[in-house]
Amino acid sequence: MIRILIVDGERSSCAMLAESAIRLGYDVSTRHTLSEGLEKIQSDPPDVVFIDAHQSDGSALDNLDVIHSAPSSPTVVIMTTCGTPECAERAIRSGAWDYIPKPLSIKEMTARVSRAVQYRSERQNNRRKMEIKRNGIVGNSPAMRASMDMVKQAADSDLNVLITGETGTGKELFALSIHSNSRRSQENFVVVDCTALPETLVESILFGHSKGAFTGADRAQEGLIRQAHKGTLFLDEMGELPLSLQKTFLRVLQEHRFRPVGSQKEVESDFRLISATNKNLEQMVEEGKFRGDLLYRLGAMTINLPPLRRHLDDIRDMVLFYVEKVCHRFGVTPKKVSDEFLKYLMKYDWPGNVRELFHVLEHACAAGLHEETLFPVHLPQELRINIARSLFEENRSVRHGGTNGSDFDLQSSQFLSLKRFRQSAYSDLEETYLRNLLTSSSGDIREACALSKLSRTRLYGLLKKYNIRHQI
Amino acid sequence: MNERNPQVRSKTERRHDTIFYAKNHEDIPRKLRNVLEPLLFDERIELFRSLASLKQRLCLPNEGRIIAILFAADKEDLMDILSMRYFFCNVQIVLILPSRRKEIVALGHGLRPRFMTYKDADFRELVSVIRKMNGAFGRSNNEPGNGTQRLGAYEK
Repeated sequence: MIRILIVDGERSSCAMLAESAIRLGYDVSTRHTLSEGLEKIQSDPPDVVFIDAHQSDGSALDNLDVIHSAPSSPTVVIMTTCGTPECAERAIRSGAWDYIPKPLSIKEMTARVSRAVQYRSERQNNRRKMEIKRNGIVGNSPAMRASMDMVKQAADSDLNVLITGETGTGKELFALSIHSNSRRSQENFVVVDCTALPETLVESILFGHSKGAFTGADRAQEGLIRQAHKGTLFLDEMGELPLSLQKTFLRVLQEHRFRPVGSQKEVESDFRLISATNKNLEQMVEEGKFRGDLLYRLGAMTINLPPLRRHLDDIRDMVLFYVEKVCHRFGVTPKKVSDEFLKYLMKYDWPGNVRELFHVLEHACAAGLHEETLFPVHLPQELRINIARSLFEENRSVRHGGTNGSDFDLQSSQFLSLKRFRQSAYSDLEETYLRNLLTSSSGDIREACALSKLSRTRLYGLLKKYNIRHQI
Repeated sequence: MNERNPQVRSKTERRHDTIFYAKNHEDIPRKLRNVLEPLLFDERIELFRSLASLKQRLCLPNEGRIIAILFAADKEDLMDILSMRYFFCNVQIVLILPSRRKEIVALGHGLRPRFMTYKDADFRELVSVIRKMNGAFGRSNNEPGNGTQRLGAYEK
C-alpha cells in the first residue's frame, strides 16, 4: 500500500488532507513539525510526502535533499500559503514533484493526492521494467538519481536534449547514456566538439561539401550531420557554435534537410540532437551571442547536472569504482581505500568536478602504486594543503564564535573555501537586510512583510534563525 | 613558460600531452607527412609505432589531458585501436580513417573522436584542428611556434 506522510504545522489543513488521502485508501501518517517529519521519513520511509514549506522549526526547502535521500526516495509535494516565484523555482530545481498553494478545496486535495500517487506508482513500475545502462556513470545520491531519471525519460523519447552543468560533470557520458538507452543505440553517436573546430571549418565539417566547393576540396565529403542519420548528433560546447552558423543549424533542426557546402542538392538526415554546454545560454541570448529561437529548439528537455560538491555522498562509490579501474589499467591489484582518504576527499569543494576527482585518484594510485591501501598522504600535495587549511579554518572559526555581522574578519575569510565564503557572505547580507527591514518598518511585522514580500511565517523563521528580536 | 627560451614549455605548465600513433611509417601518405613534420616539433608530439607501446603510454599516470592523433592504416588496425577503447577514457582523439566507407566511418565514431578525417584527405583541416585543440588546452593560438627547433618529439 502507498504510504503518505503529511507534515504541516496547521493542524486543520493537515487533518483535511489526511482525511482525503485515507478516503482514497492510502496509509497516512501526519506530523506537525519539520524535525518530527524528518525523523518519521528516516525511520519509516514514505512513498509520498506532502510538506508545508515553512515549518515552525525550519524550511522544508532547505531540507529537500535530506527528504529525497530517504531509502524510498519519496515523491515530494511542497505546500505553501504564501509562495514566491523564487521559492517555486527553488523547489522544482531541488527535485520537488509539485509546489502548490494552500488552502485547497477537498476536491483539489483529492485530485492532488491521486495524481502524486499515480505518478509514484507508474514510476515504480517503470523502474522495475527497465534498468538503464549507465555507461560508467556512478552514484546513487538523490541528485544523481534525479539526473538518471531524466536520462531515462530522454532515452524513451526523441526530443532534443540540452545538458547543462559545470565543466567536468560528465555531460558527454550522460549524452552517451541517453543514446545507448534509446531506440537509436545501434546507429552512430556522432560527437561534434565545437571547441576543437576552427570557426572557418565548422560549416563544412557539419554539413559536408561537394567536390571543388573551396580550395582543397578535391573530393566530396559527407558532413557529420549526415553521418548521424538515424543516430544521435552530440554537439558538445554548443555555446561555441559561431553565431553565423546558428541560423542555418536552426533550419536543419526544423527540417532535417540541408545543403552541403557548394552543393545544389539537399541531403536528408534523421538525427536526434543532444547538445551540451557549461555556459549560461540564456545570458548569451540576452547579450546577443546566441540565438533565442535556437535555444528554444535545443532545450525541449533540459538536464542540469549537479556539481560534485552537491552530491558528495557519491564520492565513496566513485572512488571505489575509479580506483579499481585505474589499478586495472596500471596492471596492479585493486587497492583498498582508508576512511581518512575518503574523509579528506569529502572535505574538498571539487571545482573541476568528477573529472578532477578522477585525476586526483589517478595521481593517488600512482603515488601508492606498491601499497595495498590508499591514505591521504597519497593525494596530491596541493590538495592536501588545501584541505588541511580548510580544516584549520573551520576550527579557528568555531574557536572565535563564527564570523558574523560587523565582526566579519576579512583577514581570516581569505583562507575560507569559496563555497564557505559565499555562504558566510550570504548569511551576513541576509542578516543585515533583516535588521534594516525592521528599522525601516519600525518593528511592525505587517509592514515588514509588505516591504519584503515575505510571509509572516517565513519572516519569523528568518528572525529566529539570526536571533533578531523585534519590538511590537 | 621558460623565460630564457620562450619556445620551451616546462612539463608543469603543460596541461596536456599530444601523441601520434601510426603502425607503419610507409603507410602515412606524403601529404600527411608534409603537414605533420612541422607539427611534430611545434607541438612536441610523442610518436608511437605499435599499439603495445601506445598502451604502455596510456597506462602511465597523467595529470592533464592527452590528445591522441591516431592513424588507422586499414580496417584491421582500426579494429585493434577500438579494442583498446578502455584505455582512451580520458583521451581526446583525432582520428584518421583508412577510407570513407560507411562501415569504417561507423567504427570510427565508436571512438567518439573530437575530429575525424581520412587517409586521402587534404590535411590542412587536421593541422588547424590540432593547433586549435592545443591552443584550447595549453597556450594561446597567437603564441609563435618555430618549426626549425626540434624541441621534444621523440619516438617509441
